[in-house]
Amino acid sequence: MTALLTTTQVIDSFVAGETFREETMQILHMDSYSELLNALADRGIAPPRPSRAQVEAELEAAMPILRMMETAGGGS
Amino acid sequence: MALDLVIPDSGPLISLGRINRLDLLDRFNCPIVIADVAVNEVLRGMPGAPDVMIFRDWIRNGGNRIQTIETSIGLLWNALTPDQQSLRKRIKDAGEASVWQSSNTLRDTLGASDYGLLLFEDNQVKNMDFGPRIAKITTWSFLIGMERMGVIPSAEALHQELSSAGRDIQRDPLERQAESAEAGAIWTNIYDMN
Repeated sequence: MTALLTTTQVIDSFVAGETFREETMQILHMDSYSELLNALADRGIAPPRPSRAQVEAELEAAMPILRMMETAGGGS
Repeated sequence: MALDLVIPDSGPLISLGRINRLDLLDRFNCPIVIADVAVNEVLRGMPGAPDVMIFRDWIRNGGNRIQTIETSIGLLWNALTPDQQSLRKRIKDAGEASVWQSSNTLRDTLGASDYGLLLFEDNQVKNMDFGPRIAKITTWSFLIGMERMGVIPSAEALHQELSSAGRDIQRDPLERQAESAEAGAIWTNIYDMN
């Protein structure tokens, strides 16, 4: 990774998916993911989320299990 | 057949805890299996942050439903004194190592007819093998699933809450967007000067 100079550059790189969460926290000397969420909140940025294709692929595998879990005792 | 809800990294807990929606995990009558490193991280929190109390209460109220996966990093951390923990703060690569160990434990211990749903946010989890009967799902996808099941009205609304919830500690007071900056501007090139 090219050297990142400012907090904003590091955050931008994380939001763009170019830097992993652990690496981002290490560069910014953060002790917890909460601090990274705070830094995003400072900038009015919601945490990055996966692509629509990834979401649909995950849900295709997960929804049957979610429904089994719901049937097994969910539900309020 | 047994069903497990597995959480190998702290991200989902921290995200749901910040918007006070850990109840979305409680609604399922199954064990919630969490890596010890993730438990340590959510209980450590930041001084004055409201999250820690939320997690302490949630874990206490969860009783024996909440189970932890022991990892070498977690055991090492727990062996440190509180003073040593506060000095060290964080063990390098702890997250990746503990997720990898969790994947090995789960793959080796899940019964032949057992299934699990694994919640994650750390990208490294995507590439790790937790076995064929574990479905991996990010917090965002989980919220979409909850929306499709009619449990929550809007995943988008909860996701947006994350960008403001619990924000009461200023981390880097030296770097702030200029008031005159437009949305999307490069902050470090724009300063408010008279």
